Amino acid sequence: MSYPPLSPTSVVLPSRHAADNFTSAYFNIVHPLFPIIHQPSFDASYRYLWQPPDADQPLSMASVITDPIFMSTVNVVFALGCQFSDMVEPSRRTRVAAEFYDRSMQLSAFRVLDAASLESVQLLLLTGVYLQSTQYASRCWNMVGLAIRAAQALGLHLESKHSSCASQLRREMGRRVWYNCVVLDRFVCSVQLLRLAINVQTDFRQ
Amino acid sequence: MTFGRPLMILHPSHVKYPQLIDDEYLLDEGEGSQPASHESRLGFFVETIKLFDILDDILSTVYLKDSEVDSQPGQQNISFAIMRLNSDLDTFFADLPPHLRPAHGQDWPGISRDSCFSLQANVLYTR
Repeated sequence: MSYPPLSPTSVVLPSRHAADNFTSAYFNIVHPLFPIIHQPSFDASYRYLWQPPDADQPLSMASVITDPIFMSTVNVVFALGCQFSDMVEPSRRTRVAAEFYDRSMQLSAFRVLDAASLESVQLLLLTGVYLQSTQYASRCWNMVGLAIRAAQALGLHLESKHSSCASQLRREMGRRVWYNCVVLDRFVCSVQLLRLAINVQTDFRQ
Repeated sequence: MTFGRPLMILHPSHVKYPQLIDDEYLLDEGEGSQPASHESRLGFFVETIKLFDILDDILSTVYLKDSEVDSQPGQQNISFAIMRLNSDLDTFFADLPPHLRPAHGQDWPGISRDSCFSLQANVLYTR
């Protein structure tokens, strides 16, 4: 599935130093808990963002910077990573993360829903993980719902879809993405609300 | 279920659990495998899935009772169900691989843990 490419002027990146720092914080802290994306694949595209134009680069990589889904994913990775970064003062982390989130939403908008792809489900899931850390509990719940719908559209809830996949990489990533849907669904429906219920009870006793 | 917000994925999935292979060993062509010399970082995720299966069972068994009083057997069976769920949780904990157990109380000395696993162990315990 190809999406209309982004205009080059809409792509804004932080300094390489900050971007590397946020990405590495993401892979150290968030990725072990929610293995949604494949790190080597992400790294390959991410590195390309910083390369000067080069005729030797494969054409598929050249489109990375105008791919709305990838650029949107990069910004959610920054939004998650910067909250664990020593480069951002703790008091500013929420605001900086929100800026990356807004940028991510602007880049993909609702294009992500036009046709499901593994990459678009990954983006929706990551956005759901980010929203968990915000005050937007309802937005988070809806975002995870969109991720599940998109995953079901791809047939990721069917084992036959995975077992018939020749590539180990895509097969395993498909299973991981599906189980991230399952885990986040339960997380937003039960764990979060259970905590809410427990907090309410605690407040009554005070 | 669960406080008025229904789950979207109601039935336990038939999809196989992800294999315990780290990102860098997955291949697009051919079949990569995790080196026997170190644990996969995916272990935490698969244990989370199992734990959530039990939590799901607890919420639907214990908290849904109120609305189904008429059709459900009495108090004794609820106690029985709770004992069964408690035993499920005990089994889950007993089956946890050592690198994902909480480090409390120096119960498992001599296990060198890198920060990734200690993060995972603590989060799993909290859940």
